[in-house]
Amino acid sequence: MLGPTGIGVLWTRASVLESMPPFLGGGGMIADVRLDGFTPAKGVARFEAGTPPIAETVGLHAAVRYLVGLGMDNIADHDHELTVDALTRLESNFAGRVRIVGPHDTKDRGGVISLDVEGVHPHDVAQVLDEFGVCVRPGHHCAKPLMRRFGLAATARASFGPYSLKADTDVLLEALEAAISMFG
Amino acid sequence: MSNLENLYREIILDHYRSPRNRGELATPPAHKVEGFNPLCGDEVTLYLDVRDGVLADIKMTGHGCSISQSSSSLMSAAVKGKALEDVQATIDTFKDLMTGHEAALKDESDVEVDLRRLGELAALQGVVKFPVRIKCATLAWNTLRQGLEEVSTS
Repeated sequence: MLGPTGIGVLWTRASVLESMPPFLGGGGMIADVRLDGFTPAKGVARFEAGTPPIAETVGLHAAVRYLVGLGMDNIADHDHELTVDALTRLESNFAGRVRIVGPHDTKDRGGVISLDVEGVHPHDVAQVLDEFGVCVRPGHHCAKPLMRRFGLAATARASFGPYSLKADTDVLLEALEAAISMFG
Repeated sequence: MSNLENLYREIILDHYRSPRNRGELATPPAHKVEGFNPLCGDEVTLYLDVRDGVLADIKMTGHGCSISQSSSSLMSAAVKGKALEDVQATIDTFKDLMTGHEAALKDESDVEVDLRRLGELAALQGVVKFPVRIKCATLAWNTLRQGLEEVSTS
């Protein structure tokens, strides 16, 4: 969501929060400390031991403000439109040459498309795409059992963001042709 | 030549499409050793037949990207039938080639690799421009070094 690395949000109901024990001790998370034990602070403070990641928090705040300013519904619509366009063009231009791993209908689908290019290893796909200025993620995406289920070592994964355009998909398709002709 | 063409030279693509010395050897007498790149899923298994101080035969199986597959194929062609000290020297020279970017960063220009000594292996020098791919090129070589160490201590 465009924020800095190393920070996230855990969202719980207040009643659940009170029943959750702290997992880490440190500054700022105690109400009282005795020789025989301690009482953790109330609320979220009990999970925020030690110096907080201040710069990351400010950065995450800026990212949230930016996304809310664009409107999450608008972002979802934009993502959906780009995904439908890309899936349609991938299927018509690369039938039999590129396998799309994941649903082909776009009803419950995010803007992430995992590709298996016939005869070209995902790391080689990514290397050629990189030369075209298209950045994709090659690898098993921390889902090795799923890769095994599909009979794949890895996939190359393209994704859209609020800043992506259909013209970016033009370049992706051009780069895929180049990768296939290089290794085919 | 663009960086990409320099990376994927014709000789590399040739070894990727038609890998040399694919297959297995009976163990024993051959020694079997496996290497993995868990981050990208590349795997290589080497079968080493060492006799009288010579790597008499080498076969391999495995899968991975064009760089890892062509590097292992080129390696097998370069070391097959060679005396073990020559094999070690080739491993050292190749590893020097792959760590060339570190030498360049430190401006240690006295670190020079004799490319003539490497023959066809010199085609892999374009990999150095792409640091994340170096581990692809060195997988088979690290596995070979490990295998020869296992042979010498067994």
